[in-house]
Amino acid sequence: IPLHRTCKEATHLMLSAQDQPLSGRDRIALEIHLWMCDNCPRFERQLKTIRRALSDWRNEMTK
Amino acid sequence: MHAAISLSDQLIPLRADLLRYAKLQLRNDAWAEDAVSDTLLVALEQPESFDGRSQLKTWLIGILKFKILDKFRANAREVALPESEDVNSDSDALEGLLFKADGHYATPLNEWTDPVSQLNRQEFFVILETCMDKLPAQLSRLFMMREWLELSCEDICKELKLTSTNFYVQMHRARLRLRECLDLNWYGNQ
Repeated sequence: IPLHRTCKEATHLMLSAQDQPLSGRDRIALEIHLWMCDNCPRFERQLKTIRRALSDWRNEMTK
Repeated sequence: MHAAISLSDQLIPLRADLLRYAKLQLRNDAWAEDAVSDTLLVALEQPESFDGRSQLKTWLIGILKFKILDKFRANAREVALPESEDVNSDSDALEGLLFKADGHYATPLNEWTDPVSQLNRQEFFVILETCMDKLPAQLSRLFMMREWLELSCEDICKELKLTSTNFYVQMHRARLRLRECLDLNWYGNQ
């Protein structure tokens, strides 16, 4: 299954996506993994929480 | 003259906030002191460039960002991690704890409560700052350049003479460590 990814590989893709756009193939593979996995969507939500908190924190410190 | 005196009076109480902001970014007290002093000097020498459309602190932070970047440039060798720092190593201890040999999670991940309420947010910010302090200084600086100064990957690599591979690996590590620290200290205390 060429688009199969382990949790570790999916985690690497999610971290990479924070700094650079994923290739079409990687993006599809990640979507498939997130759809089938219980853990990785949590990791994705945690990354979003951190990013939003960093932005809020920065805004709070600069206002 | 009166305006300058008035401005200097307004700057004094803001210095502590500026210093905290600079220390978070630079992770070096001496560089942070320098950057803040340079910022206040610009403010005192060019008070006419503050047009009053923004808060005084917002204007000062705008100047401070450039001074922080100057510090990064002046100390690029110390800011960046050496290229030889096993960038291709896949053996980060943290990943060894997170994943089994087959590449799947060793234990289920925690579901975080979103820190939406004001009280929760303040608590989350305190933990976030603590976790940033726990990151190795070089990782923390790279991370803050990307997330707070919002520099592009290309700009950071150019400023610090890093290869993109090295940069992405360091960012990967910083994000993974920060998440782990927050998981222990935010979720762990809920």
